[in-house]
Amino acid sequence: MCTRERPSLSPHSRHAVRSCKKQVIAMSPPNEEDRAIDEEVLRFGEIARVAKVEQLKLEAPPVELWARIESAALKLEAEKSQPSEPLAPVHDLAARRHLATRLIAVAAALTLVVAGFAAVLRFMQDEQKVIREVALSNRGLSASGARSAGVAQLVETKDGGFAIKLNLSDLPQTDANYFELWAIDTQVKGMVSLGPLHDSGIYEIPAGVDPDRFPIIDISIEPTDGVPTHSGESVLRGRLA
Amino acid sequence: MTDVDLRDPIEVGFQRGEHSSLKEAYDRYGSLVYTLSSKALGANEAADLTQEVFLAAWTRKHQFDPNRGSLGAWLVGITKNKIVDAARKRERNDKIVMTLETEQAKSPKFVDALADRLLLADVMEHLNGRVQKVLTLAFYEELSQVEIAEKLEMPLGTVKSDMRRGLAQLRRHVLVIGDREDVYP
Repeated sequence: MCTRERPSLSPHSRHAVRSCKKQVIAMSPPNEEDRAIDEEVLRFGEIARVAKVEQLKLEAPPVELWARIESAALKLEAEKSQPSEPLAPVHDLAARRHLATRLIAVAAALTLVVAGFAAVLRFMQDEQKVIREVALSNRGLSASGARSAGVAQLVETKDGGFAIKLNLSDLPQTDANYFELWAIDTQVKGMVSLGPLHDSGIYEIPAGVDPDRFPIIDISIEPTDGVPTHSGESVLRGRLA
Repeated sequence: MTDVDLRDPIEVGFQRGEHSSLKEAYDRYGSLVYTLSSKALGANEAADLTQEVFLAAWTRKHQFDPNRGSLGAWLVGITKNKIVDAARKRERNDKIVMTLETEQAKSPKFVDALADRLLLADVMEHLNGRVQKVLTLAFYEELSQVEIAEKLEMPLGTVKSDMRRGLAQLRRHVLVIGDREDVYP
């Protein structure tokens, strides 16, 4: 039964509530917000009181559970083809290329022998491994690319080489020109053309070109004048290292 | 209406997939997930289920949207689904002995209600001291704001803002019915 009722104490407090189990009668609900608060207090209060009656207490999981979760999570991350934190140190790239080549050779031999090495096959067929990536920017470059954006990734290809994988948006419309991809060295002296842009988004880096030496990824607007050098006008650029 | 800073650092880190965030999320919400699993399915399965929940969450971390509710609410959502699945599986396997426990755990409504109570208990435990006091009086002793101000010898305005802050926290954790599993698959 309801036994609790207290009058408001001051002329300024317009908010007194008599509550009786689940029934709330507002003596003088002053405004929307107060009413909303009352309703929420009622709703949460009900849940809280049931929880209290049940003496619901949180129990900690067994102490060794975290170690199990952590190692399982690490295993999952190792299996993913794209690591969430990029980064192979520069000097590792050459070693990585050799390792990949060796793995491919071994895998080829195994597939001839036994069909069940699905894991190895999967490694070969998986998307390229991303080694590092950079968001490309138009800052300081041609105004025509002000709305352009993109991401360039240095990836390892199926045959153990390297490529740049591009994901671009909003390149300026050009009828008389085309876009070309370049990898430029840190002194901005030497550069390698990776060719005109095309749909696949994957641009193989010629074998013999060390990606670490040409880390600046640049997309230029080229006139169709048959002159092979960089036009000097770029729309997007970013540095991969 | 809320004056709460919703950018909980654990949530921000978790979304970014920061290395330490899985452990931080586990330290913060591990007991909640474990207790819910244990009360629904029994202590035997609770540890395995807890592990499944955190691994699933880590795999799907990009699906977590802090605007829809707290990380705790999201984790509990995953937990509830796994509980119901496990209970149904148990039912298929133990055809002879149907326990009340399994019967209840199969029911999303039951599991929902249990989860709400635990979420609320969890939030209350983690509230700032004064806000906790205010809400405790409001919920368990059903005092009005005026009565709380009198009892704690605080200005009414402060009680009001503490209550707003506490309710904002609760709201993020204990989602409104209707905002639930349809939002979090």
